[in-house]
Amino acid sequence: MTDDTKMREFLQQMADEIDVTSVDPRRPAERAHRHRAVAKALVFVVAAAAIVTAGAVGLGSVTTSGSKPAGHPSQSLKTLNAAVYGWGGPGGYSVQVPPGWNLDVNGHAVSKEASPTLAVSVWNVKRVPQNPCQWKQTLRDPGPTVGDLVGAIERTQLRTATAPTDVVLDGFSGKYVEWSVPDWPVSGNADFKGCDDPGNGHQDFVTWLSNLQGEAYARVARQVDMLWILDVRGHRLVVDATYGPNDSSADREQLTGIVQSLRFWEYG
Amino acid sequence: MVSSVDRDVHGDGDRLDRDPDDGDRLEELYVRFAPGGIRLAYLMTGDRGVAEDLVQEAFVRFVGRLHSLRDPNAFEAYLRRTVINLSKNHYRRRAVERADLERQASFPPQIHEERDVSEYEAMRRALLELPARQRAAIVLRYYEDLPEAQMAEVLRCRPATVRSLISRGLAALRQSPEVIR
Repeated sequence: MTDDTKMREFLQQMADEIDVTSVDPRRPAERAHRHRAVAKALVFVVAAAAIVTAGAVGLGSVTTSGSKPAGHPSQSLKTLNAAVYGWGGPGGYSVQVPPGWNLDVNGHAVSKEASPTLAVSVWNVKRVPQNPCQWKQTLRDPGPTVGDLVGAIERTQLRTATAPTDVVLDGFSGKYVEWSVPDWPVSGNADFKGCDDPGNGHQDFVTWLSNLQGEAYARVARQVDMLWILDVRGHRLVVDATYGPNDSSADREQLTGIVQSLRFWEYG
Repeated sequence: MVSSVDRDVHGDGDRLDRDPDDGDRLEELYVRFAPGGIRLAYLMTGDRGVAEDLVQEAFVRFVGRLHSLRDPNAFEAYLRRTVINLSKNHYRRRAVERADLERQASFPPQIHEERDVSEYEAMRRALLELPARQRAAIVLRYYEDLPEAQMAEVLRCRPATVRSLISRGLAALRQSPEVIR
């Protein structure tokens, strides 16, 4: 087979990865409308800033006696908009985070600075290993429903899952499970001794693989994944909030607070 | 009839809002050309969400010029050129973000990309790691089947440069294990 033929076949196959048989014709008009709204908001912000600046230098009539006190706790939260691992279409989620929490470079996970374990991410899970250490030969598609994934988690070897309980997050119902990683010799960059190499020289203890790109893996021994497995308008999405054995109860409270602030957008 | 409130919200001189026919025409064009544009952008970015975003942006940028559109085929060429340019800009932004993060990062990320060892995945990854212009040349040549002159127009370069971009792109792909041999 020639280079030309192989390239053509490959590119066609890649293009066929996505289904574009139906597109929403209103999208460009909606986007144009948003552009105008943003432009008007910017004009407003610039004008307001100019007024405030003028007031600060005594050129305007803005009074400073009624200024708000600084440092109100709610003012320290910021909103981060993130993408879902393995979700090919439009849509994502937003969370409110305290200082020190940031979005990763790929725009998917929200994690705490300098912590290898504290993170929140949302997944479209496609394959779960029956054995998280020997995961290459044991990856299985658990099926599409919340119950399917809960069942796969309960059956996974080496990890321990709590009994699933009913949960509602952002108005979407599902199951909540805490999933523990066992005590295990770990070295270097999350290298679990004796586990399969994904091809980069590391030894991963794999949580799951997403529908597209993306592999979740344990960072430390005795890590806990708090899982909200939800049906979001017909899509099974998993909110994964992770912490390690050395993280404090305050850290865990921050994690759950972030998860409780989570809002999905543009799904369904 | 347009109320005063509507005019206040939309009355910024945008032709789409002043002429309902333009809105209909934009929708027709979107239904007809967006799927191809999204596939092209997907080959350039490897991300469906980004691909749709870039194509919508390309359409929005054309709104003011709808009245001057006579030949729908001209729109296809416009869309192709704009998608390629927006894709290249997207990668430039991502490169800046990555460089910035690398300077700041003091710990490895929690989650890394899947490393599938299949030939298809290796080829996909190698394509997406090519410099944007080489990737664009490969996609325009082997997916869009464009003649050299049209590729040169889209990429704003000479035909000899197009040949060079394809040649270097294929050479880079060959260097990746399990990719073209």
